Amino acid sequence: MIMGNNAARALARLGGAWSAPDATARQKKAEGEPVVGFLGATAPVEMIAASRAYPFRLKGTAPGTEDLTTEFADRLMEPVREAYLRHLFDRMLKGEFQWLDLLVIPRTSEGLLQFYYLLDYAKSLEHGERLPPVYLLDFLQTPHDYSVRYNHSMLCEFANRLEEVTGTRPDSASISQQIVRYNAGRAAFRNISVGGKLDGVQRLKLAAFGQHEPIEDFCSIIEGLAELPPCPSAVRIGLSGSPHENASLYEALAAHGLDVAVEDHDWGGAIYEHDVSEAAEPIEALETRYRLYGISMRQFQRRHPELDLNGEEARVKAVAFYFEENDDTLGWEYPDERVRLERLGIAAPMLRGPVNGEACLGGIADLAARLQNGGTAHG
Amino acid sequence: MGEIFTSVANEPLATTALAKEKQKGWFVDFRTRSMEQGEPYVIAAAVSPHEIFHTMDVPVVTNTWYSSIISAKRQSPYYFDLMEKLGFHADLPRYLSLPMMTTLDNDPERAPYGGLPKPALILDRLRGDYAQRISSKWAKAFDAETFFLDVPAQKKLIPNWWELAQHDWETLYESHRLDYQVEQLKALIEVAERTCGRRFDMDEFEGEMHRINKAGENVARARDAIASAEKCPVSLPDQLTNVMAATWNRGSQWSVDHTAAYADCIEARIAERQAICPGEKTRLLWLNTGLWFNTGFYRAFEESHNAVFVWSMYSNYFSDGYRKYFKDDPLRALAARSISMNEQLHLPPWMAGWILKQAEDFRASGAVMLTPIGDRLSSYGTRACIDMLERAGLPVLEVSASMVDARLWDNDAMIAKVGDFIDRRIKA
Repeated sequence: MIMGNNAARALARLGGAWSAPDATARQKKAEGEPVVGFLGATAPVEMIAASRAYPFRLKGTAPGTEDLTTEFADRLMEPVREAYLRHLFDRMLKGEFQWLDLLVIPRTSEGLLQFYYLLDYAKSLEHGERLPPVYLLDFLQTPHDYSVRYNHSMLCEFANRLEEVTGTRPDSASISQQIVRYNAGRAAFRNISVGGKLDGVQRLKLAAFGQHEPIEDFCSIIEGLAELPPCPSAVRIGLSGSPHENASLYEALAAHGLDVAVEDHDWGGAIYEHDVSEAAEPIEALETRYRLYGISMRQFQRRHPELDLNGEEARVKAVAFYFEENDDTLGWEYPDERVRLERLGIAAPMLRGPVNGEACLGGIADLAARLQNGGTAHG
Repeated sequence: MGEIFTSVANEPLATTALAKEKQKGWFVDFRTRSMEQGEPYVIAAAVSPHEIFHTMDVPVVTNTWYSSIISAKRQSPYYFDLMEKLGFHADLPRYLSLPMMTTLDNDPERAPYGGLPKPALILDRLRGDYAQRISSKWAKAFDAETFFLDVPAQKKLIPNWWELAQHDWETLYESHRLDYQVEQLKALIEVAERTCGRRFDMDEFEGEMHRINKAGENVARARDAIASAEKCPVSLPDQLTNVMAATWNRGSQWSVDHTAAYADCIEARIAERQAICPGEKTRLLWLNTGLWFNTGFYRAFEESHNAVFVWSMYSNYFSDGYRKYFKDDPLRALAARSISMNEQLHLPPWMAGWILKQAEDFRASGAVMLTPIGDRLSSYGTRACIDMLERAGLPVLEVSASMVDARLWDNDAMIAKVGDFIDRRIKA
């Protein structure tokens, strides 16, 4: 089938944003628009947008820069820390994000909280002026009524801070408008992701696109991508575990004929799985959505990795559990998940980082051999 | 000055044996009441508010205590293998998960003391991200209830926290955080009463909180005596044994009396010009986690280098961090005690500021920081802390060790490393 012009344009735009994830935000800033950066998948972008700032999620690395050294960061940051944060800190110390009007760090993992404190300290040092202003959004994910009340008050405080930065208060009406706008993007993503038009690498790139590009562009390229011919058939697998801000694992799997059909990490499609309620009071709606469904290390209930974004069986033959080096959190759930999935007839191998390490690549090869030889879930 | 000091290098304080005896007695009591007679008890994180259960006369077992027992009985390799067989990958923190492994293993013949019986409650504080996962899994294995204490983040790190921590903690810890913590403690009390079948008596609790402040004053007296002594009168292992026993038994009259006796002993040694290393020329601080499986290491440089480890954070956190004076709201004071413990001990500006204050008061000229191998949570902030200390002129040596696998500790190599550090960075 021949690809249409809209699809080709959409793919080109997707590829451009993937290669230069900061470019649009920098352009917005150059045009005089306030830019508020954020980390993780639990910052309420609706509120940032309601303050008329451009919300922009930062990555630690752009494609092709994953192997760069982190010599600036290493003096102050322990080598066991998350690789993306080490890269990000290194770039921040070099002044690459000095232009941000504000950087929002949600307290939804210990790593992010400690990163906030580290930046606070680094500001007092010789290159401190290179760092952007930082805001800690102290958002909790425990299922307690007092946590709900606490979060509500923290979101109100966040609105105040945004008003200080942008001059525009994110009021209820404007937040509601943004909730509708971003829900439209989420719905569009869910539709395309189950439509068989995108392979795993494309879907990962699209998910990332929605985090740093304008929401209207996100919806627009999804329309274009919908004109793509169906993906060539491949062995469908799910991916669970540590986050992937780049596609190296997806590509390594694809090289063995394995396509990631669904994932649960915080740069993947699952960040668009749940809407924000349009019926509830807007801050209450944001609180509920991000507390329950904001993907983070502190999230209490994680999704089932064999289900697609509509909650249906994703028809995967395996769910690969990838854990980065020094993971101290996500691996605790693996043994129970493996048992549960194997009862469903789904293989659940574990892959250990780094992606290009011998153990990981060997694990991928083993998995591919098992699945492509018609092996069962249990090998 | 100039008078000869008498060596007490090989003489523990008289109170040290009493502290050990107290801990043994605690275990006998726990074994009798909870393991044999089935009284309710609680498994709780070390940094959680044990005071609530002490008030209710409910035994509290810390997972770190049982973990150390497993290690001391050299059972940890077996449970490490079990972890691997069950599918837990090798980077997952092992120190806090060893006790859970004894439950999953369900082999009373092997587990120390036959394994822990089902607790009434598992209480954990969400310091990092994995506590909820370990405790949920452990509780499920026991079919027991859990309670998770969440931790709102400290936004402003006011310098010199120890100056505000005892009397002006409302300012220091941020009122909105304390409001949250008080609500949380009230919820915990409700759960504790229901699961343990005991009533929480506020009057008894208030008395307990006052006694903790009193014991903290005694520890402060001991700390001031050690710091200002011409030669260090008490070894670090002795300090740890005495202060930690009082910490675990905080709120009891025993802890008040014991810390008073401990401070008296130290002051008597100073008056009698007794020192653990009469030739002392160099004072060192031990930073971060304690080297629990080899506390003798702290004393390995007294003969060879005339260097004495005089302080670790356990020496006087009881006095600086635990004491919370209050007028009419002991629950809010308890909230203040537990809400920022980790930040004070492990967050660079607060941690480093406190260490520098100790270095100055104790006249220490260097420090050794222990970083657990491959442990992300225990490593947070260590690099920035070292950076701050070095910038302030305090030389720091970082050493790494596994906290549960003593086999990985090369004692000779570590002694050589610290010795070299003293020679090159401190004496030079």
